[in-house]
Amino acid sequence: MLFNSIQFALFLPLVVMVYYMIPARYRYILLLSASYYFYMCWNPAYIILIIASTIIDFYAARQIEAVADKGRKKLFLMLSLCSNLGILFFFKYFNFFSSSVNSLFQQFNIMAESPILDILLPVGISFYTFQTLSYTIDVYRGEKSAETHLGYFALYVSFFPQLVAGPIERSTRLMPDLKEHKTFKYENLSRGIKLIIWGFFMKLVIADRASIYVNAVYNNPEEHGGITFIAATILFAFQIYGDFAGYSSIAIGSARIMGYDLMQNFNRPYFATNIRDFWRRWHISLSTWFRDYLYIPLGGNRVVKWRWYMNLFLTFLISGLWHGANWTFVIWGAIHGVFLVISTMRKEWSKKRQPKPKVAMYANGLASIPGIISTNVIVLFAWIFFRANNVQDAFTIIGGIFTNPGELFIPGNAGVAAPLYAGLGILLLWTIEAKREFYKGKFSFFKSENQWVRMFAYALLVVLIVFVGVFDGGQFIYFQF
Amino acid sequence: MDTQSQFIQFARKLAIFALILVILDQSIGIGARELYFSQKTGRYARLNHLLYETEAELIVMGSSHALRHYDTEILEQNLEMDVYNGGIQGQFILFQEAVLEMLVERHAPKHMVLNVAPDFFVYQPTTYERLGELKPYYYKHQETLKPFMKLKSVFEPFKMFSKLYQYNSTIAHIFRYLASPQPDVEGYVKLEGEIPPLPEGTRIYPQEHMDMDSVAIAAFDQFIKTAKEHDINLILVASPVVTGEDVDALKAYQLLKQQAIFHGIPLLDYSKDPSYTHQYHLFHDGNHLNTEGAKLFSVQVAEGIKPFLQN
Repeated sequence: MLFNSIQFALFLPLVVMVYYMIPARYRYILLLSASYYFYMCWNPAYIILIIASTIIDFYAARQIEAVADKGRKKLFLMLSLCSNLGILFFFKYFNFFSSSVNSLFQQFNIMAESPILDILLPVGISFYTFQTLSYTIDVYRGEKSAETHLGYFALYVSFFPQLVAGPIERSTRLMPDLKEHKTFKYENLSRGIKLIIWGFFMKLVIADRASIYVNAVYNNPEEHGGITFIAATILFAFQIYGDFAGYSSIAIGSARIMGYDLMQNFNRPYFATNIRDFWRRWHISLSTWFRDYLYIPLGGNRVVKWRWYMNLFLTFLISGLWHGANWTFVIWGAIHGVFLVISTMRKEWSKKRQPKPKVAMYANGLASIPGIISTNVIVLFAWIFFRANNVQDAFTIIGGIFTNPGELFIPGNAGVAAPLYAGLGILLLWTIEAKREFYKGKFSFFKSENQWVRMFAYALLVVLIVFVGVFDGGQFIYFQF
Repeated sequence: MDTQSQFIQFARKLAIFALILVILDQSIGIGARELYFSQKTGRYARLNHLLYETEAELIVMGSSHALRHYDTEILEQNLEMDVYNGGIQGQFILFQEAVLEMLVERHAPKHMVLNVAPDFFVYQPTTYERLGELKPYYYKHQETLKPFMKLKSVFEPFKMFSKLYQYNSTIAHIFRYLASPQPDVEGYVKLEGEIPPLPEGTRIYPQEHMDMDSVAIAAFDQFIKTAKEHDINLILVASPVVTGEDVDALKAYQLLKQQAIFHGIPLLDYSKDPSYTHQYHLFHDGNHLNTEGAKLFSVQVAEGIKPFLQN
């Protein structure tokens, strides 16, 4: 079930209504049933994978806690890791691995052929797998006690607002929240609905509109020149932001209506002043997951410098692979890894110099502009690999940018509508974010003291969504991850 | 504040918010409607003219092939009757059938040419999504359009309660044609430029397996029935294909021809006409004739359909 569907518009209010009507002790049953139903709307058979992950991790964590022997604890941790990562590898990476091996064989004229499986990627598999893995690792580390209630644990793994595209929640945060008795609070419903409206604006007005132009260019790179590639890449940056942050906003809003507090996943990423800052603002739940469960176990920054830089690079390389089973994503991760290492080295070097005197907030805003621009250039460059259909296309696009500027592609007749609406949406988004970034606490339509101003602002946002949004079933990009 | 008070506060504010939304939706929606139906040129202006103004004796219908291939001036000169070109780019038989149903509520032309393509019955999901272009006409033709909107989604008729939604995505087109008017001659829009020669073996209509669309077949059937019910003399015409490829081998085209024979509707097939095969100077792209090609084709069509216009 897509968030941007009539089905969800009926499903969510119905679940919320029943949720507040029934006694709190039965709510987990309602939410678990609703979550399974929500997932089964895509492919009923794949619910088995979620149930299998749930049961294995529930059992593994109980055993980790119950046994005293360190070796046996590790054994149960391995059971959880192998089963979850095994499922993930089989469904998401097997064909990529297989076709890469085949290509390698062909290079050496070896006639062996690794099989390619005809399987569908289960929606959101990378998200719920990482979420449940973090739980068993936390129990193993002794940071969390094992959950004794299978129902609540199953709900933690499959909670429908964040099941298929995050935010990737930690058991230490979400599990206690799910068990808490929630009462009907005006503030929660109001905040939740506002977040949902904002999410739909980002998805339907920005992401889905931009995607029409981006697809037209990126699916036919041989027909366009550098200026068009730059325009399409800028639009793609907002497409993926609108798509993913929009989904997160709807997810956080849907949970908030029922009183649950999901973590913030995006924080104005295109105002980051360096790559480290970008990753503190972009897909926060994933970057912190990688920090806590990969980067730190690798040694983090408590090792010699070259190992530290290697840890950073490896973390981002694997993060790239998490995003998709394609070399384009691996290169995307590598680019971020390289620039993160450079940014960290630069920071280390500048520590040795005299600290700069503090400047006023406004001047600080202006001073951050070169950093924002250079960060965005790097991020945009990396997005080329992320969006390109294959590595060859990515290099065609980069080659086009540097050698063949060409003319800006403006779709004929009706086609001009897509970049126009997307541009309008991006302008509005950018203005709001710039205001929040640099002029905190000043006048805001959406956070005005006057309730009528707030109400009109959100009503106009709904008007904009209905009037220029895309309603023909656009998919969320991150479902494939 | 207790739960009950919080609920009352929420319900009250939600009701106010809904009221504001309804007021904005209705008022801006009416404004958008006025703008939509005041267009002078462009895609929607032509459709509006077809549905609400033209009294032409001969109307040409179809997709971009119809729009670009039938020079109305030439047809009028050769046939000595008023002609209007109602071709709509990117819209196939489902849309054409909906337009015909709306048209006959006001005006049934004496003759109608429906330009058909060899892949008319091939299933294409975009065909259903593009039915959204019928939304602006829903308020005038609710009962006629409801079955078509349901093909897009069962929830579509409910969405139509919003006036704004009926004009979703139309505003950019309106301003685009206002800023840069698109001239037409009784609906015919010229296409300039020539296509470079295509590589040997290029096919415009690939022969790989393609699913048939039973809904499109039924719509074609209904199109013919509606035309007959309103005494419209219907003639089917297939446009030339630059490659001159064997489109008869396509199952979808075979079925279309069988349907035409079954209903006793003439089909003039120019798809393999040697006057156009590999004549790249007559084509704008692989699929469409340019102005020169359209002139030649319109003369040929006028001659071809003359015998069928006698009664």
